Amino acid sequence: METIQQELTAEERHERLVAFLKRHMDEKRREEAETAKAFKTDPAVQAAFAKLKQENEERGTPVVRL
Amino acid sequence: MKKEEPPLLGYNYIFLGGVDSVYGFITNNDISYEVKFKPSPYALGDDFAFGEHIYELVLKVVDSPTDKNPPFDALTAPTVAAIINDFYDRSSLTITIYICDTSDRREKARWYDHFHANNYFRVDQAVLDEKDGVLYHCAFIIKANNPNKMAVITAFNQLMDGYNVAK
Repeated sequence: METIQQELTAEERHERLVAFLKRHMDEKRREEAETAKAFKTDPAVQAAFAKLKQENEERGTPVVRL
Repeated sequence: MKKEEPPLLGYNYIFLGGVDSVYGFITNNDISYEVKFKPSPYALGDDFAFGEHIYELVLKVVDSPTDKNPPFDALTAPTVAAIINDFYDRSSLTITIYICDTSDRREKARWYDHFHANNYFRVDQAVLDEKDGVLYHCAFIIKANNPNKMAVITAFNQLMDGYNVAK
């Protein structure tokens, strides 16, 4: 990441921000796709979710106090 | 007289850990979610002094029986809120960044309002890309008593004003 040193106009800064957000969302979506893939292929994650599912079935939905 | 059932305020969740501090939960519709806190030390600029406490929140459906967008579920939002509470209990200095766009907005809104709560301080800003017609929604959440609050606000405002933006 690079801090903008020179003086940019408000419009230029907005364009730069939008470009950053666009790139960020593209990267986020790629990572989300990898997460979904890992969920299906990682034995440790599968085991953890299977255990959670079993606990849910045995105990019902627990109350979470906020 | 029928015994009254306790109110359902959220689903059970698990902490999977890892670099991204992953949590998981499963809904009554058999939809599996992962909630991640991805370390993002440079999100508020290279010079931000408290970058080690910044995490980006990522909420993702990782498994769904129908492969369609999940239907509205009143228990999902409080579950995500409870997970965020748990993460802040681990480190009260946490700065959570959340960025989404038009397509995610509905999902975000379901849990987001929980952070009007007294113990949290939240700032958000919408950024419109007029060219593509996309509305980005950017926010941070900190504990209300975070001693670095003013520094976080300043850095976030600078980011939203187009300073400290990644090239």
